[in-house]
Amino acid sequence: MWGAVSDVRRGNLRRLRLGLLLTFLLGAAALGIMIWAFIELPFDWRVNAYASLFYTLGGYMLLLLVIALGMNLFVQVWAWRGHYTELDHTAVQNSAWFVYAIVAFWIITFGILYLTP
Amino acid sequence: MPDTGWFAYVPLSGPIYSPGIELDYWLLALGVAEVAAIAAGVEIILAILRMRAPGMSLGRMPVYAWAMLVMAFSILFAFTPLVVGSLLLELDRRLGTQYFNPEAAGSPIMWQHLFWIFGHPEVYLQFVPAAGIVSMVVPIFSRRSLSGYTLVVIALVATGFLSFGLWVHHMFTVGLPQISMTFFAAAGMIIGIPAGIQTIAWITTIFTGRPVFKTPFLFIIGFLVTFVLGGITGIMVSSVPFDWQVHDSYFVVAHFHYVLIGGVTFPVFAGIYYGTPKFTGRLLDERLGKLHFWLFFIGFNLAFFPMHISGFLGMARRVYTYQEELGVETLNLLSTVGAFIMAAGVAVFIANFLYSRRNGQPAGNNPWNADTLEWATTSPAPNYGFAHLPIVRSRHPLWEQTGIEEEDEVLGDTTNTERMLQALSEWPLRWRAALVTGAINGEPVEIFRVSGPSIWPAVAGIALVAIFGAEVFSLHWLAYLGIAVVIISFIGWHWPDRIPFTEKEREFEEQFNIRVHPTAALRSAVGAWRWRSCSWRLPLAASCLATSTFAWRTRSGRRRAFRRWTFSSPALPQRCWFWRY
Repeated sequence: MWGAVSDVRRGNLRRLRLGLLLTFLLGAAALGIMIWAFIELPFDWRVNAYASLFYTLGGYMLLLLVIALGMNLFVQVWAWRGHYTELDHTAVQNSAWFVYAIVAFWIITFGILYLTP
Repeated sequence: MPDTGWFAYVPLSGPIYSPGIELDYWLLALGVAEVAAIAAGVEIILAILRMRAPGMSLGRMPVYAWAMLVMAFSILFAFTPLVVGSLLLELDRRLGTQYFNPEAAGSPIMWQHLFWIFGHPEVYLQFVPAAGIVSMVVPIFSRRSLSGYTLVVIALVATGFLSFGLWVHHMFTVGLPQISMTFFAAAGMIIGIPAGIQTIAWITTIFTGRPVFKTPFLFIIGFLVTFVLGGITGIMVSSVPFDWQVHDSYFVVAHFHYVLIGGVTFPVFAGIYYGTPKFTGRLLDERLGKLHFWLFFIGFNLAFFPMHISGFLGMARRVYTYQEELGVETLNLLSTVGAFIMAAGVAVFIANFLYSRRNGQPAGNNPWNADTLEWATTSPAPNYGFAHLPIVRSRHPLWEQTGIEEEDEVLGDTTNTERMLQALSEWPLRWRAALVTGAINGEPVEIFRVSGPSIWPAVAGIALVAIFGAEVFSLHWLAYLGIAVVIISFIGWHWPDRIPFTEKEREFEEQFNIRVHPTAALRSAVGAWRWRSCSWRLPLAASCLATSTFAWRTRSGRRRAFRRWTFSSPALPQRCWFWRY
């Protein structure tokens, strides 16, 4: 994503598209892993407060990821249609900020869920 | 009706003791209001920090704008815990999670913390803008500048910060550890300091000025008297042993009505009397205004002062009746009589408002000889604000700058900014431009394109309300439909449909050395903000029916004004709205 933004700033549209596509594929893979991890969980959310917390936080991250993928998809469509130029790429920039924010949340949330007792 | 009180403590509000849908309605409506409030907070912050008039550095900003800025930041931080709290409680009720169930490692006290970490700052969300109104009205009717501007601003910001360290004083009787009670008792007393600084600044301003006792000023005097009394009882209840004694008694009721009616309603009435001419072009009637003030002031004190005493005598809150042995009949009767006198005062106000809309004295541009920019335009103000933006060179532009009211002033020896603003008032013709200024110094930074009118934000707002409404009645299909509509409207909202960047824009950039943003760059943040305002107002209206009628009327008026606006107009879109309200 970072690569895509710096490319569009330089006006390199081909690499912008590749960067967006890569981001989308990585995001989709992460989504798949998260859903799989949820299915494999040995407890459900009604057991106790900790289980509820696990599902709520995990579900929240899942929702954010789906939104990010949706944003990425549309930016991507517009990128392939050649909407963006080196001066005019606010949407790319915005969706990049969203991805960065998710990565930051992700580190905190999964740090709490998987590393702390 | 949900019968759990306004704070909905668990387990009373949990799935076992409140099985009906009333509480779900309350929680989901609260959810809509939270989303709406946070959106409004973001919008206010952005408008105040980036869309001021050129030259209006932070140090020249009116205190009212400062107060709104503090309030908007507090909204962001206060409503977030409430979002979390109401979401968790709704999950507990609907999906069987165990957050507040002590038998499954949950904690009912956690709800109280989540609620009051919102609930206490919420009081200051109401008080801080009211304090801003006082700081705006006092200097104008004292005919001098506000004494201690910097200190007042620091006090407002400090109030915003400190209000987040107070919530436990609502929970002194819960049985928390002594160390936390000591901390929060101290914090409760400390917040008296910024309030005291402001009060002294206002009194000094009045004392050293030449006051004019018009209706807005009378309400300010009423505010000072009642608010100081409420503040003193506030310091009393922040002491833990005293709080144990009067907790849940009428003493606390008296305290917070002195703070909230005294500290918020009185300034709001002052603000209405002061600001209405800018909305309607006509002044409210002075004689009726004074009658309103005296009825309201006397009625208020008659209703709430006896509650201090009846509270000491043991009159409990939140009960519909009381024991005869308490001996509080006379005091309660006085309170009832006072409440009716207050109501008569408000009736006089409503009559005054309706009467003066048609028959009031025409206001002219600046009926109060005020110092801030909103009084430089006509009354009612045109919907674009200023066609030719004024440059602010002083904290009191209308008192200290000449020629600011003449929009088409002939510029002799001009600076680059002045020439740029002159050119901007004649251009562009095909799209709406807005000037972005620096957050600190108020210098022009760039010109960006605001997108045109759009239906999508309103559609998104309606669909959002539909989602929450559907969930109350477990109509999941309608909720899914709402989600789909929200997604579609977001896509429609952000669809790139711009006018191409032409040589004209490039020329402007080079001539005045300012960037003309080629896209509707901040459209999602600022664009078509009238419709955006609908998108948060609609949910808000859904959750508070009482105010919705009024909100709808004002908005439909604005929408008519909006239709009159055409793309061929050289006017800027309405900006700097916080000066006008």
